[in-house]
Amino acid sequence: MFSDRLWILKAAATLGLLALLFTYSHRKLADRFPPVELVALSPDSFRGHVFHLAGHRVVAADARSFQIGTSVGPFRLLTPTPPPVESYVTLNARPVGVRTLEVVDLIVHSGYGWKRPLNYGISILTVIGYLWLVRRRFRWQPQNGLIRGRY
Amino acid sequence: MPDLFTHLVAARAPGIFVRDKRIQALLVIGTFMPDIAYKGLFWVMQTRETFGAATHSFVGVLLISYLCCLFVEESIRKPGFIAFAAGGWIHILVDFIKFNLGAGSCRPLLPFSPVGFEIGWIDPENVVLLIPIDAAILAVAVLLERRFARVQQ
Repeated sequence: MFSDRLWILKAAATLGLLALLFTYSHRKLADRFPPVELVALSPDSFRGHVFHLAGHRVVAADARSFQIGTSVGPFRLLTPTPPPVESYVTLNARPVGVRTLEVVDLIVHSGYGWKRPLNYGISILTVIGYLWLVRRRFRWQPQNGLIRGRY
Repeated sequence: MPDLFTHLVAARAPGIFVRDKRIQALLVIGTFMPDIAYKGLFWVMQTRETFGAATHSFVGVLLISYLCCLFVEESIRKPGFIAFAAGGWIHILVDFIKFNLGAGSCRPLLPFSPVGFEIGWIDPENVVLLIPIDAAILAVAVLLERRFARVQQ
């Protein structure tokens, strides 16, 4: 299993198993957690289903509701405490009408605009920096298809 | 996803007990792999989020770790696989700290169950605020490691 014998076959088989895992998991998740955009087509078939929507920008708000953008246009979310326009929210909501959902739980992410890019920036720098720091522990031997230890 | 500095510290701190520096590095690289695989699928291959969800599952980590260890030389391939997998599992455990309204921060039992798990300690966007604490933990871990190495000599 860990030898160089049939290396390419092992790599191909693992890639195949990964593709199978991703496809099967995607289908399983898609059945159980349908995309909220389907509510625009047939809200009645999703009555009682709770949708989880993460990191959506609020595009409009009034006293009793707010709107978020989706790939099929804006959705209206009913709540007694609508968040301000331009804020980012994560929420659980259930459909109550065409393109309309009632909010069950809501988080408003303060500072989303700078925290998210900072997260990605730090992550990219961390990976590059760490690989740079440990580069001397390994030797690149791409002609052999391997990363070899230095000692 | 918490930032990868938090993930690095979560793997590097127990990594002080790993004597072989190469395996220690693979442990930390292993903790990067679930996010690298997930973001690679999402950004490069333009897949839906649900397609990459299994990168953050125990089975997904095993397969990714095995694929990664094939690129490491044969003599350290087996411990390398264990290090990659341990790093990936540490990644999943760290992801549990996120609060995601009960929907689960990741789905570790895929493909067997789509149930999401979370401990829910912190807003996912606020994880970057942990960086000073992470840096302090990393500094203590590195100091302990150096002192431990000196005592052994």
